[in-house]
Amino acid sequence: MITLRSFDDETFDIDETVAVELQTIKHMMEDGCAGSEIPVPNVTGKILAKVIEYCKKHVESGKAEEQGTSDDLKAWDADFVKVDQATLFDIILAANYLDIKSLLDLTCQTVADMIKGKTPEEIRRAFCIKNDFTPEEEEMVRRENQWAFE
Amino acid sequence: MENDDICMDVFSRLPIETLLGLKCVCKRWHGIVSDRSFVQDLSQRPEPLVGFFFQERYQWAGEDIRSISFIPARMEDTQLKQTIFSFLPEDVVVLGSCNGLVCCRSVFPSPFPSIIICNPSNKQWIKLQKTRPDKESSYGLAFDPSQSDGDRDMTNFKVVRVSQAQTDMDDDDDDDDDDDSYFSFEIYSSEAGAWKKSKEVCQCNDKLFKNKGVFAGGKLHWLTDEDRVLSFDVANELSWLISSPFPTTHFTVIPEMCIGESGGRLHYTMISEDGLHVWALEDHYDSNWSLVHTATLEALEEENSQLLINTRERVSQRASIDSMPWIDPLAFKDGLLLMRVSTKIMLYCIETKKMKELCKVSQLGRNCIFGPLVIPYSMSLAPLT
Repeated sequence: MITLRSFDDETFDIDETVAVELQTIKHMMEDGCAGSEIPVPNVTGKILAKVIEYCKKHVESGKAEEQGTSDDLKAWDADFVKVDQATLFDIILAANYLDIKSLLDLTCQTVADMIKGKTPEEIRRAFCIKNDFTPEEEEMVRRENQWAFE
Repeated sequence: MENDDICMDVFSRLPIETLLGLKCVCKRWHGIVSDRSFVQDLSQRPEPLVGFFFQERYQWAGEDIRSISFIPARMEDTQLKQTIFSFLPEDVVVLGSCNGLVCCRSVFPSPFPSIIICNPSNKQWIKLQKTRPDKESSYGLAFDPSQSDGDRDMTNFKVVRVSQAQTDMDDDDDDDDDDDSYFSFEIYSSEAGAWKKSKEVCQCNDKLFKNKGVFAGGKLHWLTDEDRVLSFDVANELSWLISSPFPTTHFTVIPEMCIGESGGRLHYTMISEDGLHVWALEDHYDSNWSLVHTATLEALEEENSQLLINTRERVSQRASIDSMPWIDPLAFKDGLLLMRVSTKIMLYCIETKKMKELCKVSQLGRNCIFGPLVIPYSMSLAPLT
């Protein structure tokens, strides 16, 4: 068992098989720098809990041999990312720091799907982005990048 | 979304059309999408076909027709576009396209005729230096974004010009079997900013037909009027003729052909009274083709009964080479065949065997049946300025 300590001093005990999913932790264990507790200073307890939940689920599914697991896992993943935007971005940052490729793929793809099909104004509203173009600049950029306008 | 690396990860999953829209969101996103490393990394992924450029030609007159249409492959979302090239300084004739770049020449007559390489996705363009285009030569554009040797800031491409000339005849040489014409090649390199005449020549009496070069496997290919393929290896400057995958003299009714690239390989499509055949080139040096798809006219009709009726009868009615074929394959790319069927433009997917109507021929102009220039296009962010 490995113990992870979050930024806000929450501790999580996880099996070694789950710990190695977090590549950053895995390398620390291999390099022998892992003591009784591994600090994860960049990640809060709330987010670390989610990340661990993801890794546990994927390790369990990896062990199961049945055919149905792939679709079930995809459905589980789809539910997993149904969180508020702030949480989603925090999970991305955590997955990036802890080097969990499949979680990073899942969350980045989710954000990409949120962007696709939206107009620039809709994107700004969805992600609380300030429009820092002047009206003239905006008009010019729009014209330059409006593929095949009529 | 403060982290630029994560932004790039997310953005790299989006289609280029969406990425162009992201440039309008805010200055930071504009910067990320324009970043040369991002564009370079993005160019490593295969881009889907978005549509076809369609430019009419007169059947008999030598003049150029100025208007160019763009036929989107997904007509359900969009419609025909007519102003795709309005960002260029003059009217052009489209010569070819490769991985998102388009090669064109000035419409004649022109005070300073030139060859322009442009990217319609980002509306950037450059003129080839020291270049006087002519109407007789054929051109081919070779642009391989995966060849990122050297400068990341530059988009490197080559243009090949193929000209045909007569060999000087010896007085005592009257062997009719000798080819008395030959193709010669000149190569423009964007890095050098100049043309170079290749020492390579190819003895051949065939004329290049449909005029547009297809880039596949590092080589440019042109269809000839004897149904062969002239192939030119751009890096090694070697040329040779690849014979047709099937003897075309076999048919009662003259078949129609077109070549195109799919999965990195050259494909040869033929429509005849025996149906549709598609071959892929396995080996350049041995003219080794493998049949990858075949469908009889009856089978095509069965799968697409709302679009095709009495196909065999109509295909067989073609009396001579001068009369218009009922079905004309116009362009092929990534497993999709654009063809004219009577007065409609259809897109056929060889994997699903399904055809869909994209538009009517009348929407493309009055001269669009006579050997139009049809060039497949996929998008790219590759900068030219």
